Amino acid sequence: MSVTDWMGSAQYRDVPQPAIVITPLPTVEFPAVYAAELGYVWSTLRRLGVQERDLDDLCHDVFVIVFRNLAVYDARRPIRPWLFGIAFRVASDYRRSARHRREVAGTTREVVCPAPPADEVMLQRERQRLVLRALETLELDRRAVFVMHDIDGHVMPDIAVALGVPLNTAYSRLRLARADFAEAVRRAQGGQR
Amino acid sequence: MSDEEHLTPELQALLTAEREAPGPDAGAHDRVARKLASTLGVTLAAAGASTAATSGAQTVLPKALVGKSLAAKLMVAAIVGGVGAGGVAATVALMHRHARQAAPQAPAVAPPMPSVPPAPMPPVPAVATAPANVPSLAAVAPGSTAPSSGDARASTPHHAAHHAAAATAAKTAATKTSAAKAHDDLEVERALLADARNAMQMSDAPRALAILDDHARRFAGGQLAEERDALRVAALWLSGDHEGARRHADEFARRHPDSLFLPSVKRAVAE
Repeated sequence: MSVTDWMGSAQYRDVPQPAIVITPLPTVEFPAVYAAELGYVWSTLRRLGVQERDLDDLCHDVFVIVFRNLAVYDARRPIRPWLFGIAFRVASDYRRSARHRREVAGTTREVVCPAPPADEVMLQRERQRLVLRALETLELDRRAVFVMHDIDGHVMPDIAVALGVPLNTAYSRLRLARADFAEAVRRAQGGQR
Repeated sequence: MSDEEHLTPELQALLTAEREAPGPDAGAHDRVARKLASTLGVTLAAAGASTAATSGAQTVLPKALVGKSLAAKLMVAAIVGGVGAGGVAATVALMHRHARQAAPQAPAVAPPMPSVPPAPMPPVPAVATAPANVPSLAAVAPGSTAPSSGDARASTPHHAAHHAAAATAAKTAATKTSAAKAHDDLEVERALLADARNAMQMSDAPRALAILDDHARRFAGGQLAEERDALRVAALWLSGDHEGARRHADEFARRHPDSLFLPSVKRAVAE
């Protein structure tokens, strides 16, 4: 198998990773990536359960990794799944720490029915809060697939690559995540449906 | 898998609301940029300019280019962040450096890969030495400041104050030099690995290996040593030295068991 074949037909499996070869490197500039994608990284970390007060620090951690690995990033591939993979690893480490695990467990498993909104803006905010609270009930592996697919709109092959899992596993996680998410929303709304 | 059938319209409405959730506050870009400057030694855009660049990029890029190549995104980002903000203020110092380093090989904003034949590669020695001669445009150390004129010792006689200021300046300069060197080294490392990858793209394994050897000589314990070792496996395989590639792959797995590149390294030596 030639390297060229390997590059063209690689089936990524294990972890979020930059492809090792081929990229028109001069176009990949860290400042531009930072300027364009900080918002995406920030939102992704938030959806993966990072506390608001820690978002700056974890965004920093993600972009440090991006900076160090940008030289080997394959610029022909969409960057956001790659960024998500890095953010996922950073968020996983964050949640594994005892300090944050207690906080996450203590604050996110409880799903509360939101009060009736006063207007459309309030309704929108309540919906967003409900989504985050429901997401918190999902296992992180499932949540990542769910966020990437159903919120970000990435295609499953890219998701599998970014998260380093087989495609079937990604589909399975999506199916389970949807069931978990629907159940969490139902509970939040009082189990009326 | 028909994915959408599992999401009710109400759930989809919830997710739509989340997609429209506000991003980071206006100061987040600069706060994180300052942290990155401290960690990496990169000089990102100033507050006002960066805000303009960020907001522009975030409102234009995702809608226009989600799912497209990064090269395409960066073309827009460069326009939004650099030209759109006045051509100077929002332009990042690091981008100047990259542009200068990349100039002999490719335009600062390259067209999409498939439509552009690879540019002729310069000889290895030129690649190895060129980045070191680049003027240090972004070599301002993070956190470095001008000598303080408000210090209490400023009221001492002029020559003493001058001496103290000079000492402070020397210390600051040393800090700058250290941080700038680390940053410059990283830039050179990145340039070398980019050249190695370009050589591989052109199926020029000997040249790629020569560049990787050069990197190993100059940056044995470099910040991108892991990436270099991963590239070497692929370059060896490309050269036909499959046994050597496997040997280096095994060594890579032993030295970097948690590497992001390990799966790619394994695949590189898979028959």
